[in-house]
Amino acid sequence: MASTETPIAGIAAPRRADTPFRRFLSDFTDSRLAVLAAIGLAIVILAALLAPWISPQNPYDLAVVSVFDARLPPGSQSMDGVTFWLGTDGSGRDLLSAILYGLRISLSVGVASAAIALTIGMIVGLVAAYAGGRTEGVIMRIVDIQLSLPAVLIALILLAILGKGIDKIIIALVIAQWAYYARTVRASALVERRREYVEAAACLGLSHARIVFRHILPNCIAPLIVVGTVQTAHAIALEATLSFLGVGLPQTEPSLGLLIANGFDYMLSGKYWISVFPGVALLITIVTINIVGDQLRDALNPRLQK
Amino acid sequence: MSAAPLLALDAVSKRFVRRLDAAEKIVNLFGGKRREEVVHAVDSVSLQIAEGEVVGLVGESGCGKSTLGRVVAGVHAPSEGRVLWRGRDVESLSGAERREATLKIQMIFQDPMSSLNPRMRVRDIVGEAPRVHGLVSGDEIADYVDRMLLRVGLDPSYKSRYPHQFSGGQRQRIGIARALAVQPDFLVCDESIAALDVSIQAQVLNLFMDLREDLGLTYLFISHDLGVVEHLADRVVIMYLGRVVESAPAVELFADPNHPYARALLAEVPRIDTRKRVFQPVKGEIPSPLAPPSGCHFHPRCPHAKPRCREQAPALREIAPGRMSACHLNDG
Amino acid sequence: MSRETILEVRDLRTHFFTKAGVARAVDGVSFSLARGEVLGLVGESGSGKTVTGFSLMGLVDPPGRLVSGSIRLGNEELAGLLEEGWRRLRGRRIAMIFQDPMMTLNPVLRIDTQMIEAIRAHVDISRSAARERAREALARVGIPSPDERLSAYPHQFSGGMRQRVAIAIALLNEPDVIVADEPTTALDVTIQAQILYEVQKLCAETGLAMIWITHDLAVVGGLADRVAVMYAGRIVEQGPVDAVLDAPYHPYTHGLIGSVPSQNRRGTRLTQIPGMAPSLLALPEGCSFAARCPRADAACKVLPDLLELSAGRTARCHHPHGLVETTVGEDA
Ligand SMILES: Nc1ncnc2c1ncn2[C@@H]1O[C@H](COP(=O)(O)OP(=O)(O)O)[C@@H](O)[C@H]1O
Ligand SMILES: Nc1ncnc2c1ncn2[C@@H]1O[C@H](COP(=O)(O)OP(=O)(O)O)[C@@H](O)[C@H]1O
Ligand code: SF4
Ligand code: SF4
Ligand SMILES: [Mg+2]
Ligand SMILES: [Mg+2]
Repeated sequence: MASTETPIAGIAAPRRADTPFRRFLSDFTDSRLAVLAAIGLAIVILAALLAPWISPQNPYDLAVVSVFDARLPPGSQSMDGVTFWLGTDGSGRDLLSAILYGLRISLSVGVASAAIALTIGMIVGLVAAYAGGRTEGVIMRIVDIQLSLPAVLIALILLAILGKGIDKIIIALVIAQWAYYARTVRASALVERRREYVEAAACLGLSHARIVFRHILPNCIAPLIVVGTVQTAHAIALEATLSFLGVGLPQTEPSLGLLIANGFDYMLSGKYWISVFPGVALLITIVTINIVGDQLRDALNPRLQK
Repeated sequence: MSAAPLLALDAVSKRFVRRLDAAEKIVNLFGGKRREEVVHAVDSVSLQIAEGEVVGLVGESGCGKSTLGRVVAGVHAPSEGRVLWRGRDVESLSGAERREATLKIQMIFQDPMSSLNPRMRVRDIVGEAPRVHGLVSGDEIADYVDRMLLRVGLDPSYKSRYPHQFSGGQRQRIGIARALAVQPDFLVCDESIAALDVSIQAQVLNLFMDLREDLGLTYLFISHDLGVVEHLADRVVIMYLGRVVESAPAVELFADPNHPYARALLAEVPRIDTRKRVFQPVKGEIPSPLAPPSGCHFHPRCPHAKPRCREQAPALREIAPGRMSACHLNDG
Repeated sequence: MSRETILEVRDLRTHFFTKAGVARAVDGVSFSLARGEVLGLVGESGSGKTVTGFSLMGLVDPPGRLVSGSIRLGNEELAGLLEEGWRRLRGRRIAMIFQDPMMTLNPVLRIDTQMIEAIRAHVDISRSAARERAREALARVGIPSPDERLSAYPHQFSGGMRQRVAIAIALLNEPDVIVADEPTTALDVTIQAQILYEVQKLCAETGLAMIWITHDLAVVGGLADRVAVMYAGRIVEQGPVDAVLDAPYHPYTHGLIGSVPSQNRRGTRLTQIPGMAPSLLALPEGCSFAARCPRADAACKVLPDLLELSAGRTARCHHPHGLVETTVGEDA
């Protein structure tokens, strides 16, 4: 055995005891704006999660909502002395509470549809890249056709068929968006598949499933995360659009889009806040997600890494 | 050799076809002349490698060395011909026998970075295959990985790290440990030291020689560096544009190459003990494998080419015991 | 050598001021170059060869900076020149060839366009005269039918031909010095030999001086007049090629030469240098080779000076090979 030993002492310690995650963190925090956006996004998500506990009022509880408080401007007091910091809407709900609950619905719809679309697109993209040949050709044609149609159009048509409801809108959003993930995953899986570590895995007699999901997939995660964030923002915006157009969610569960639509009628009579504040909340959500997504793209881009 | 060779290639060819994409097919509908491009990366190569032998495979880039190595290692299936492992056609094996044949032939790659999965820790890179195949039980795997790392000269305390935290030479050792972990008999080394620094190359070459001694490994050692092959190989096979042009014991080949291409190639090798030499290069470029020259592929560059060489491909024939060459000059 | 000195580099220091610390990539490099001479600059990757070349060309970008030292080309001092001054010199009096010829070539422009621009950036001649000069330059580096090739795009050339075009571009304005950074490393031996042949002829015929950067001692042996060996940012040994390669003073040079396979008996373990090059960010005190050096002792804790050990030969070592017996011999 002695002859095999190349003196270990002669082999210096590997460089820097860092992990990919720590490197990523230091790259991500390079941009101040992105850190601010990440903090902002965290607050938005927390606010949505904690809505039932931090809202001054439960906007769905008809017992506490009074029509006499309808359309009060920001800062007004209610009949029983509660302050409406952002005013009230057309049916007398505290706007701040309505926004927090609406945010909750918008975010859940966006995240749920993005997660499902991501899973479907990821599997389809991986299969296409790994199988190649005819399978890949057929899958990618479908993806191309899907991507050439505007997402709103697809969603509108589907909702016209399916009807209203949270589940329906999630289905519509998933169908409108899975193709983006499929295309992204396929592109990076094609690159990874040609790497020698995949050949090495084949030499080691590992199964196709193991090669695809344990070896190729983890190396395609970075672009998926980036597309995932951006598409979540798209999904939220799309849902708002659909709700605004009146084909999305039912009035009983108002998302931000519906709140904006409801307030829109009062815009001309000077009661701007009913539409504008939900709009601002939507804007902040979408913009922070996009900034975070952009910085993720830079921080996760292997070509920019030294 | 009385027993069947450990590994044999029987008239193996590998073609790569670049199919037309949809756009090109449409162009053709309107009278375009796009055709499928076919690369004969390996063109009817036969080769026997005996147990314990080190065969050096040399040739210029694009001549099909890596493709041949991948066919041997089972990464590519041959387009034609058979790969025989211990006398049995690998394609005809199935189940446990097929797996056995796959595991017994392992490959060491050129690029020490891209041949290791960047998202896996060293202990998983080395330990995954033996665990999956049940070569080692779950509670012994940690010890087993340590032994493999020690064997290739790495400190096992680094096994929780990722590949990017190691130097090039260390990464190459990780790749070797990964291959050794499935207890192979045969290593295909494809330019395995080309990407390393000179002083590190010597370390890794020594490791290969030690492993051969200790484990009785057989090697197909692919390299464009003739000095390395001369040092290591028992037998050398020279390829030119997909075909074997000469195969001979290393000592004899370097003393007296037969094929004109082999002679030219050996003459070009810069050697540290030939100073201020006057370079007298072979003329011409390496032709594209998409459109190899007719007859003997080497004829446009060969100083001895005759009209016959343009028309007829010379067969690989035995010119002396254990020596093969493919050149019309040997026909007398 | 009585030939006129054209380039004189004294105590060149180029450091990189990075987040992780100061990397002294070039730390006190001195050498001189006579007309018609080829200086081989060898060393492992990361030893500072490319940064030395870039410093001579004024191409060091932040975070790198030329910290001190002098570069005299003819009777002009280059260290401290502003970008304007460098632009005037670059390509006219001193030119560079890179490992990747596409560093020089613009993929979307025809060769003639690029060459004519390169000439007219420095001299005021007509387009047709410039084109004629470009044609001559292509012919001089052995490109067949230069007239046709002039109107081709870079992607229509093979790797070897592209490198020749890059060399032709470097030659256009008949510079005094060419810095060639591993221009044949990526090429096949037969193609490398063709290029070395052309370069050898050029230097002999035109009195062009050349710095040939490579990690391949054999290429240096075949091509260069003198050799400088770099290790961790410093030149550790310098002298005429024959003398250095036959009887190196420095233990690192000694180890490098010893680890070349052809210097070892066939099939034996290679003499290897243990360990690997230190990180420039964490250089040990004293001699930076100490951790790998079989001769290291307490004296090596102090950085040795580059001393002239015999006529025209310098080395940076407290215990050089070849001299030790006479200096510390028992009966001395
Ligand atoms: N996967 C592939 N697809 C298409 N062509 C390939 C593939 N692999 C290799 N080739 C082609 O086959 C020929 C031989 O390549 P290779 O075996 O890599 O040569 P070498 O290793 O000797 O440089 C080359 O022309 C190359 O372009
Ligand atoms: N842009 C840069 N930023 C930081 N350090 C650099 C940079 N370029 C080069 N270096 C340092 O200079 C050292 C020498 O590099 P180089 O001259 O390219 O080596 P060689 O050409 O000998 O392989 C490297 O090890 C690196 O630490
Ligand atoms: S067959 Fe003809 S062209 Fe080919 S190597 Fe022999 S002599 Fe040269
Ligand atoms: S100075 Fe000392 S450590 Fe450095 S090379 Fe010479 S003997 Fe070795
Ligand atoms: Mg290859
Ligand atoms: Mg370099």
